[in-house]
Amino acid sequence: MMMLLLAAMAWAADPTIEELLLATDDAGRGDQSVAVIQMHVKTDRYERTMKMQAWAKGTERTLVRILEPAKDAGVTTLKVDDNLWNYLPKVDRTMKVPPGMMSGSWMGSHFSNDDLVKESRLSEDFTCEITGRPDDSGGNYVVSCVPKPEAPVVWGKVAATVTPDKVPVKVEYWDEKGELVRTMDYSDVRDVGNGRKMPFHMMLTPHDKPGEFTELTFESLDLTVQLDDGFFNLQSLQQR
Amino acid sequence: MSFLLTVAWRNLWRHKRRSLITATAMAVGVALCMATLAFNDGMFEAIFDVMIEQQLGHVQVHHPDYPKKRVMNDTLPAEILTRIDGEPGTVAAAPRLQGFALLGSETKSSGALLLGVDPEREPKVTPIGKRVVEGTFLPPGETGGIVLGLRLADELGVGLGDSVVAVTQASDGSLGNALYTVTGIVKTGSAQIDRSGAFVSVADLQDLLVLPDQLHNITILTDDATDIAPYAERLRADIASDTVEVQTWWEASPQSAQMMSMRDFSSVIVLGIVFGAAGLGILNTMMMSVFERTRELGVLKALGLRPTRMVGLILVESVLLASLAVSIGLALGGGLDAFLVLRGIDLSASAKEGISFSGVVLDPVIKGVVRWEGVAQVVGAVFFVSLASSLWPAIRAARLDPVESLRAE
Repeated sequence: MMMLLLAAMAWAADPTIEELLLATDDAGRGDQSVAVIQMHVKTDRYERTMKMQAWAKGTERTLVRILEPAKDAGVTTLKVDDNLWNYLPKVDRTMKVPPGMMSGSWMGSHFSNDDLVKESRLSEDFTCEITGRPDDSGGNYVVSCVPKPEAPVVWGKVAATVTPDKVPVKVEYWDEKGELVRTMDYSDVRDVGNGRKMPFHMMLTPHDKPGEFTELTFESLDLTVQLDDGFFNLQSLQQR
Repeated sequence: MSFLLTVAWRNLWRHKRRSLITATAMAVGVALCMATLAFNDGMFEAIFDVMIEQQLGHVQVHHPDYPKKRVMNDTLPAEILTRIDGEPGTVAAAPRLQGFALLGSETKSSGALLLGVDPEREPKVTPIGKRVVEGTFLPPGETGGIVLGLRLADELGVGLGDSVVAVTQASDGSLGNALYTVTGIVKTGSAQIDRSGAFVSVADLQDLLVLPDQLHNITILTDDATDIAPYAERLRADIASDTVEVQTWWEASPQSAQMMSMRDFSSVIVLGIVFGAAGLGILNTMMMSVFERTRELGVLKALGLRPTRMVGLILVESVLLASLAVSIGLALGGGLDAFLVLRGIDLSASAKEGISFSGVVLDPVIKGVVRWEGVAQVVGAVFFVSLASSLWPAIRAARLDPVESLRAE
């Protein structure tokens, strides 16, 4: 019994690289989830806050519906694999985002359409190694990742900082020239059941645009939903 | 002087054939020169027309950063338009707003440059209304219409009456979207606009981009295309500020200014070539006539004609010859010019789609334009060349030794 407890403690104190990567990949999403998120965007030109509901299944399927402000309410984005559609209730049309506009901003935020589509998983698209341990990296693990040669990834390098109890602290993204281009900071860690902890606040800072950021605050996060693949189709895109 | 004139006139007609041949050759030179200049000026006027009048206007007003950075938020307040309307010399002023958007039909989508224009004012500044090949331009006072470039309409697979969705990121970051109805299709000659341009009313675009009462550009036509600078100066004094810049067309587009300055340069080349040849012809004629008349000129000298008067005689002869040539040349050239102005030269056989010039497509029929200063230059050049090239034969004649020349055959 004593041995078992010691083993469990050792396991808890020493997460594997896979667990660290999974914790980062699944932040705010889990495997299947539905969440209500407040998005606050600050740029040189404008500042806006919107509320949205997001359904996710893995990284392949995402549906996001704008709830507020009223002007944009009902605008819905569907992502299935590498395709992205926007439903526009005002004109009652669904438009597929063409390749030429993938680098454009999603809903005015610092996320591009490409970020949604090419949402890559550190655990699948990257080759990673632990480059920092709690004793020499301020109590956290640092996992450094470079994309696999064939991975559809725009980053040159990604480094995730994760606490020993598997909660991401921040993820930094470098471009192919080795320049730090953006940082995602995680905070407001809460229990989400089953002994899992997740950050309820994320802040994306683009380093080429000083003073600008996109902030995501989770108002709710339900990781227990069961979503059908069929939920993520063009019909549900147009449902009010 | 009247003595010299009489003698010179008689001398010319003693060698009727030679004088006429020389005069005719020079006249043909004059006529060709006039025709070439008329064609050249016509071509540049066509370029000016398409490039300046259709795109740049005479004077432009915009936010100083907008032309370079094209940031959507670098706008002008719309009330500036009223002040421009009140400026003496303003013939028409057209407000514009623009932004990139994704246009979609039922089945297809394409990126497009949305040009927000005032349906009433725009046709007064640019001939866009005349470029409509199907339907009508945006009806004044109405919103919700869209006029597509020919190839853009093809790409979207839409025609008159079809609806088109526009989606874009508005200035406040929201996803601007709107539904428009196709009222017309244009073929402008500008490859960019035909391929990706779409006109909507400026009010509609202000809504779509969430830029209420804001403009990117005001394009102005003034009452005198040749005297734009003072107008621009006055307007600048009235409305320019940190966020409002006034530019003449040549300031707004230095490359257009450079192209237009080629007009004078190519005129000079034409004049140079034709009169280089004409000058040699006259030199030859006058030399011949001096050689042939050695004995005769010797007699005049022996009778006491002073060398300066001898020079005068030869020069008067050449001026008379030039006058004759100019008279015939003006008649011939006038005929050619009339043809060019009225009928023009149709280049469509060699350029089916029209002539492309720096991305601007010109009408394949180039009509001549006659400028009086051009004709005056040609005439002046004839007299100058005649005098210059007969100077040498004249000096030779003046230096004749009477005794020697009387012995000559």
